[in-house]
Amino acid sequence: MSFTHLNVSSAFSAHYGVNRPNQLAAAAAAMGFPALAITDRDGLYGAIKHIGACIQVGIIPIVGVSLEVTAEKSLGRVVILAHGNNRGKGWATLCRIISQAQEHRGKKKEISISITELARFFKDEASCTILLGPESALSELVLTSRAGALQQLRQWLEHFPLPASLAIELVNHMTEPGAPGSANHANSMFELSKQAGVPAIITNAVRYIEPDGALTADILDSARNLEALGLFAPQPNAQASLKSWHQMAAIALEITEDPAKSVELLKNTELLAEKCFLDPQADCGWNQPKTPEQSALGITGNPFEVLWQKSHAGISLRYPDIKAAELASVQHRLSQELIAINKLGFATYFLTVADVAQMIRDMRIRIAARGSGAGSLTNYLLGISNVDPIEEGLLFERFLSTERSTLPDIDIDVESARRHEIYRGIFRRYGGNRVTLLSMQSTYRGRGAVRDGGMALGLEDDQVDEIAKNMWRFSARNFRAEMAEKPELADFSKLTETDRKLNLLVDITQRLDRLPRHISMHPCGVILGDSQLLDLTPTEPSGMGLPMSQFDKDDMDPMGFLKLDVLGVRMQSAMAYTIREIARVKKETVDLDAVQKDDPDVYKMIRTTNTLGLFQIESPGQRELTGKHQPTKFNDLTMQISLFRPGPMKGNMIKPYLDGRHGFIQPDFMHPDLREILQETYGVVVFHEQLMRIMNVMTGCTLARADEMRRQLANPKKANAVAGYFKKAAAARGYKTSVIERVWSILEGFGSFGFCKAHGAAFAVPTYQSAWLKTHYPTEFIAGLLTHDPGMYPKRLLLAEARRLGVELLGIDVNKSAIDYVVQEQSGRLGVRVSLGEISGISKPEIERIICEQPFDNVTDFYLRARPSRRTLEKLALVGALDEVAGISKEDAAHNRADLLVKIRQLSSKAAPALDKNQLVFDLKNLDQLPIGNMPIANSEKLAAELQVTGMDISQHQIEKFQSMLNEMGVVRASEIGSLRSNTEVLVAGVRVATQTPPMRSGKRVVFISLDDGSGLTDATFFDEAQRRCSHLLFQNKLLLISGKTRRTGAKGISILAENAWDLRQLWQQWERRAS
Amino acid sequence: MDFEPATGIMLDADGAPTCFTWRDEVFMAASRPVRWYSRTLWWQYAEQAAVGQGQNLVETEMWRLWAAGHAGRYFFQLRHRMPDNQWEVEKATP
Repeated sequence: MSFTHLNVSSAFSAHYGVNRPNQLAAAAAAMGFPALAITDRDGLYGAIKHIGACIQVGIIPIVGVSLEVTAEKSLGRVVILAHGNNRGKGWATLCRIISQAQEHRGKKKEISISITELARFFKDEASCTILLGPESALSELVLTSRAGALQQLRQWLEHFPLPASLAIELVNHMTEPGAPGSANHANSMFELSKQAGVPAIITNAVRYIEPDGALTADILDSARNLEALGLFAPQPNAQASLKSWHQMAAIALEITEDPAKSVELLKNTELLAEKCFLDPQADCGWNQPKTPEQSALGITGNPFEVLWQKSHAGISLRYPDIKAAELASVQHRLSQELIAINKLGFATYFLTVADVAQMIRDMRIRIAARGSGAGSLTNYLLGISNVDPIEEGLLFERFLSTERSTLPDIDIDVESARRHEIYRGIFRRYGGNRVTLLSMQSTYRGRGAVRDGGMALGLEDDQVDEIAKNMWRFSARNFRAEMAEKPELADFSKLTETDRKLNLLVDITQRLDRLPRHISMHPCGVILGDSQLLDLTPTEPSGMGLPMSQFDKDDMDPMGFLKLDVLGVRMQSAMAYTIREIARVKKETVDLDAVQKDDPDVYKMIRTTNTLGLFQIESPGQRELTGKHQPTKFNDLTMQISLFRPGPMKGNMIKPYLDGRHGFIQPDFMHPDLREILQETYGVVVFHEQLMRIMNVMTGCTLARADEMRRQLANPKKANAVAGYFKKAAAARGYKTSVIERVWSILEGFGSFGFCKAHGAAFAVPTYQSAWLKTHYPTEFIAGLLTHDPGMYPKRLLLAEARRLGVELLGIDVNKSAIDYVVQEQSGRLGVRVSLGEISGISKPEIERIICEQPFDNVTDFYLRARPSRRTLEKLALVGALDEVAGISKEDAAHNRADLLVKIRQLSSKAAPALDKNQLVFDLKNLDQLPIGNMPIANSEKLAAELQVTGMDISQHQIEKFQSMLNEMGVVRASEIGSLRSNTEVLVAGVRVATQTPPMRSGKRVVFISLDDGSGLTDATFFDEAQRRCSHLLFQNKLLLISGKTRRTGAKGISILAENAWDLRQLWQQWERRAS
Repeated sequence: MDFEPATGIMLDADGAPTCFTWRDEVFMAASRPVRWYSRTLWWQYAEQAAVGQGQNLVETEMWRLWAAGHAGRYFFQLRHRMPDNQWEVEKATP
């Protein structure tokens, strides 16, 4: 006889279960169980992973859910198990039940289904079984009133009369005799089942594999209850583990106190388990691709023929003046691609994506392809991608291989600000029965784990925040090991030696690491299926209101779902906004996608390394690389974007590439046949496409097969087979052993280091486009950047860049500012007007009222019609937004901002606004009569107010304040660093705008700091020893002074090898004291 | 009463106590011992909670049984403390 656990919560029961589905399945298989259920709370979040894991370890999957059921009052939680081997009926019913229960959450925040709603799913047929178990109200009631319990059970039976609808679930967690969860309690339920004639089964209501997991469960309970341990009723003990068959048999005997009855109980359990055995193929459509029906795409006839026509029609659009010879090669490549697509049966998929792309363009939203999809000519011709794969040397086989049968990813970048419009458009176009959003599970990482662990232990928020702040770039699983290594954790490490709770916190944080925390909307995924989609996935409301699937991206392939990646990219919004501003202000139409990619001025601008605001190449590392690389053409941008990636960086490819480019070394192509392939990278193998072509040339294999082998290189076992094949086939084609060995030694380690060129080329398009806009329309571009904030730096750095570019910054003005940053003319010059939204705490209605009521005649008029809160009014006055309207903006005005502030503060200090409107007006009328003789506010104070209210230094750069001290100390400005010799001792100062700790080949941590001093950016590198001196400053302080040596890295590249750093404010205080 | 040590404990195959010494007197089990698990509030005293230590921090094995010695029959509640494998008498009522 065997046993199957039918009530198992995985870690995807967020804040409840402890182990992941693959761990549970592996444990079950190791313990000899033939099958295993997953019954997560409120959804099928872990179900697909469970099924996949069960298939892998060779046991049978069972899937259910734990849901709350309500009548007049709550009937508690029950487990609902789907029956299997019924062509998906049980699975579909389970999905629909969950979606229904989730629909209510909007109103009540609670996820539940009423007993009458639930009964409707059981009207004609019982394709699921409901387990009334330890969390049901019934189980509670049986402890106090057997008669009451019997009555409630009869109520269940009335709603679910069909056999196999209901079962009583017995759980004995061996708590104190008589208490909930005790053997006696389970026995009462057993008696009740016999009395009512409902079959009883036994489970262990599993939350963790090993009893050790109970401690983690305690923490999760605390996180779920949002209370410290000790403030809520904890789990009774550590008995909810995945017990063995032997243990479960003993428990059954303890409940029934009768061997025959316990055997029957176990048998009933097994009978139910067998009813619930799922057939992944037949029940869930496992691995079977699903695409919208032709009718939904508006296609009649054979989809492949439609695809053939559409893509061929694209040739004349994309290649209008093509010559006959080239046309033949385009047609040849297209035919090859189409044959592969047809062989895989993916024609509908390409048509679907093309249809969506067309819909997006019809909505006049910017769109660009990303990723390997750019390697497909079909995508280019269908308008999905804007990269010509032939021109850029990209391979279709890297994108789609006939050797694999999963749907390829075609990722689309769109304007982030209009992403939701697109989602709604897709729902409208294909119908809510075919579309859902994709979800994602966020998991515990260092900081979240420390926070929730700290809360469980009842630590003070401030203390926990302080620890969390110092958790940088490491997995919480290694917290204790990292404490010994990281200088900024040294203080904390010391504390744990004496503070018991802090020491506990370390262990607890490690336990929480990587556990799922909550589900949210995936930033870019949309699932498109046929009209049966909602029978296959449960959905729940997303943040934006549209339903989202409970499955995440890893579940898409096994379920055969078509996932569209429609990623909102802020840069696309910024560029769209820039183009609109150009059209509005200059009456010029810019077709960015039609701009030639060879404008020398654009590359000249990039080569200055002032790449702030440019897509993909603005980070400190990319700026440094730009200085060394000095790009001159589009392919250089592709190259630069591709090289600065974890793979090529770890593979140490940048230096040999640059050496070859600058002629320091003679490129080594290893063999004349490889020259053409490796020419663009000076002999370094950087791209997946290059590796594929090398394989193709040297072994004669197809490119598709070459891509398969490329994937196998990552796996050491499979790599051996590839090595054997490569050496044999290359030798057979006459290559010398020495050449073969050399080439192989490079390909061998390539698996995880290379980069997909299509990806780099797709990214290089918006990189070039943003650079083109920055070169030719800097004012409009800055307005676009500030409005959509696409980059990695704080906004105030964009202001500094604007100043550097000579773009006028116009302060906030209630008469002229808008909700966005707008280009405006002031005294004959174009400038960028700072947006009203930058006032901290200003509400949307306040902004809308100001914009609707503009212009205002005077402050009173403004107050009456815009009706700002007093706080907002004061903030507006503080940053000078009322200067103009109050008539005090001119140098020679009779009043100054101080006078205005005094008046406004007098108003604000009064009690709540008077109800008597006349009185209020009377008071305000006096505003026109400002007090006089207040000391004008110093510029430094105005700046401080700006920083406080908007977080930005608008009128001048905040470093200016320290300039006298910096001059005295001989601090070098960023704009001057470039002219220094290498190895010069320098001091630099500025606002810390970026801190990065990229992965290093050596494994040692390096901290990169970027400082902005208004004249540009300085990058400083802190190695081990320097970190020890000042790591506490590097992650927390905003204003820094850094000492170090210059290090020249290329023609325009220079950075600081840091020795030490100081807090600029502290130095300033000391300096001022000394000066006075 | 305070917990008092039970020594010289003898266990059957299921780990149930059959015989032990309390207050210098030997007691023999006189009913089927009932095992249950009570929980402990580890966060109040634990120094660490690394993986592997969880079970012993969260729960304690408890036994209830009648046992008889020279002084008479008592209803005992015994506590089996881990990981040091100590037995204690938590309650003894005649």
